[in-house]
Amino acid sequence: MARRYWNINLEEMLEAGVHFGHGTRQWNPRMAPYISAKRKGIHITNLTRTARFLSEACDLVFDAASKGKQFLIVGTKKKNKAADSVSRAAIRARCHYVNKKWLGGMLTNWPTTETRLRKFRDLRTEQKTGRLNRLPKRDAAMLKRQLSRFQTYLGGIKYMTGLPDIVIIVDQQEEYTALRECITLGIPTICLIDTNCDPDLADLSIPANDDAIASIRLILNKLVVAICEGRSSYIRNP
Amino acid sequence: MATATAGAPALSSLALRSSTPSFSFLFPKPTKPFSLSCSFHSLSLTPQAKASDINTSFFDNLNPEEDVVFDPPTPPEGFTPTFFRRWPEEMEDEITAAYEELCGPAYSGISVLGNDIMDSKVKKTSGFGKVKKEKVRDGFEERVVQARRVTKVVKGGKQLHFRAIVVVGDKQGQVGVGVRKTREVIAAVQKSAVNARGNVITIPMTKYLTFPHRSEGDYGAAKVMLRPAAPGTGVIAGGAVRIVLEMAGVDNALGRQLGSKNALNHGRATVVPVQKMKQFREVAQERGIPMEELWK
Repeated sequence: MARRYWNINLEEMLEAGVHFGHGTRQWNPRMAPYISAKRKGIHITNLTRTARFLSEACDLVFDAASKGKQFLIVGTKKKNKAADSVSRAAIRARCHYVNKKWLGGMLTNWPTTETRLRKFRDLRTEQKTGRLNRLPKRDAAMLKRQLSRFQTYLGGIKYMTGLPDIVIIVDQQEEYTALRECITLGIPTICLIDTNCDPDLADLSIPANDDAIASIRLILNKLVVAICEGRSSYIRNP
Repeated sequence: MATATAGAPALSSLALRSSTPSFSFLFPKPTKPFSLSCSFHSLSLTPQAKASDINTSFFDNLNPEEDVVFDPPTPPEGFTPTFFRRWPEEMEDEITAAYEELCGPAYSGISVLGNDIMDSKVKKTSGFGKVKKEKVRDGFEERVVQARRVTKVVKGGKQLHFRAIVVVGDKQGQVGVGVRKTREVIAAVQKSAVNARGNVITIPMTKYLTFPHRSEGDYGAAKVMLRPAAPGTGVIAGGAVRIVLEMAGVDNALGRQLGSKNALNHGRATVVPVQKMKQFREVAQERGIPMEELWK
């Protein structure tokens, strides 16, 4: 895997606050190699290592995209509006994404998820052909409600025909179920790790701040740039 | 500093899980030797799912105290960094078209590029009545070790299930043990065969189809002792151990069940000593001595 130049500079990361960790009392001792200092009761992550892992992740993602692999980005943090940036980044990179709650068994129980996706598709076609308007009001209202629920929960994966090849997870604590599912299925994962997370669970963990939107956006930006470039090279020579 | 030394630092090798063949697209990267001359503390990671799948040796030379220098490769000529504070606005049609190019119309119900919405890729698997499941032909033979009825007592009465223990093997050194429960025996056997295919291990065998050396292991309270035997002996072992060894293709071996006699635990316990075994070649390589020394 050739190492390419991704525009990762440490000043940008400092500005975005990537180096801030969680409080000292909430740390996971397995993160000790990635923590550089303790300041005002907060752990500070070692940015050189972060940059290293981030460039590795970008290389990996670029190579996978240039082979035409499917990605899935999972990020459901409601508190800091990270969910919107996840969906925008994923749409930009033409990846599948999970924005709202990660339904249990989305990957391990893929046949059932497929059934739901099929129902989603049928409802959509019905809405387009206008069949919904011919039904009595109550039924139409129920179906419309179902449709909106499908849109929120499955909107990001409606183009997914099979299991993804690489999964990018934004916060390990929040998306623990998603991570566990990927592990049982053997899907490689890239995870944003904070000081209270376990770096050994994911395949490639990037120690970073998962609370600040700026930091999440920065890292997602880099990965998305890598995916886009990989995709364009895939389109040029498949 | 690191650029002066040969080879990229150890962190550059990626360890990726490749437990099933379909996910092994990413070449397991060869570990680049860490060529700094200071001594390192070895940082041992907790072993993950299956020890044989993951190459975690790149962490062996990692010294947590030492400085990691971040040296990105130099930017190519004329590299203009793209600023993404504001993404360029895209029309919805463009987005749909781009997605459709990549994955087909899938389940979106909309087709911009003129593909059929009910695409062939999205096969209709639910038919009326029973869905015909094709037999998976991948060279693995199945043998049922045990199929018994188990009961769960609830407020309304007893709930009966059938639990099947199945051993799957290809008689060439690969075996797997699986357990599953369903309301029907046949379904349970099928499910546990699927489960077994997910836990397949390889047995190190010599050219006379026996083990390289004696080994012991336990799983729970079931302890199993395995011993190699001269050709012509056959498999001399009882119950679950015999079935596992036969499905693996081991021709000559001695096995003894010690401790409890639970079939499931013994099936799982046979796998444990097998994973501890090493071939003579590997040991000679690791120790750096010729193989003849090992037989003295």
